[in-house]
Amino acid sequence: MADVDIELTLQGGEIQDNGRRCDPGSTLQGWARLTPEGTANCRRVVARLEWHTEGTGDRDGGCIGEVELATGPLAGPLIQSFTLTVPQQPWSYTGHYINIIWQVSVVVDIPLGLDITAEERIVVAPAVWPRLTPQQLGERTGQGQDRMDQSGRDLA
Amino acid sequence: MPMQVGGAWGPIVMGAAFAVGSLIWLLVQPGAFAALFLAFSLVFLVQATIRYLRRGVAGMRVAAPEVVVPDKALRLGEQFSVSYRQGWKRATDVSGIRFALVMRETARHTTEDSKGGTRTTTDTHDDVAQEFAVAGQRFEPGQVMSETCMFRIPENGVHTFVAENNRIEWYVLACVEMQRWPDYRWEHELTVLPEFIELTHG
Repeated sequence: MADVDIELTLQGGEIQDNGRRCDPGSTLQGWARLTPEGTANCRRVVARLEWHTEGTGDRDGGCIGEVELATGPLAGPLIQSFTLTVPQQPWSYTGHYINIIWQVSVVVDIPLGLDITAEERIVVAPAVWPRLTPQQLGERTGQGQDRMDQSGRDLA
Repeated sequence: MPMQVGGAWGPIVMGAAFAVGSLIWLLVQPGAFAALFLAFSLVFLVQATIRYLRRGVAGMRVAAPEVVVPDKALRLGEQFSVSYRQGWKRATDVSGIRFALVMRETARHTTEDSKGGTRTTTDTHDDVAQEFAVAGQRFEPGQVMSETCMFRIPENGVHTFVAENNRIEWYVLACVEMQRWPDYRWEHELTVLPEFIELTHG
């Protein structure tokens, strides 16, 4: 069975408490260091930018960008860089039933076997986005609800 | 752009068709299975009729609203107005009228049961971003209620997202709470773009 050690490193965006944040529409650089144990029989190696949903609903997702890093068997260590373009949407999101997750993954495609992958989650959101959780959003708006009487006067 | 709320005859027609079909089946080829199918059809038909009547009951008191809502996609932080005008057909004591801007999450999931069938469940969750309450009063026949509310898509909200099983959508809602009668509800979907009305740093 093929065994490949993958070291995935990303560059770009902004490191925040909740991970690496990338602006929608920006580019993300990275590189993958692939170290096979002996010769690894693989079809190809790709870097992918993907999103998927997590939460109550069935999973939705998509691969937005893919860069081919290598084709054919891996006979020795290999370092390959790649650049991926972050789309305008969907933005990363954490909600009540739905979470939208973004990740960069490097996949070693093994014929007739399980693929070997390494992945790193990223946050796709604009820098100026003062995003709160829906709970916080509810608290904020709940305290400051607008009130009108019949004539439309503001009672707040 | 005036919007109107329509009815839904579909489930009643479908229930009636099943009931008639199973009755014919029972008459032509009497049996327990046909009787069971007829019973299920009648239950479905009665439920659909009750649901339709409950919606219709509120409509007996009030006319369909004329609403002016934005007909273009909105951006985060964008302000917009909703003009809501509704006449009364019969004298009605209204305990309150609410207008709200909500962000709705809809998640659909399918599970397999032990017999190999599938069951699809849809869960929704509303987050009220902004809400206006109009005090209750008695409305006489022919009287018209007219309200204009200013809403703003929160800057910290999220854009509209629609996938196969998961959706994040924005709605403006109106709910007329009538004493001793079912509420009259109206809602309209808004499209929110992944853009800000203006960039505010800091």
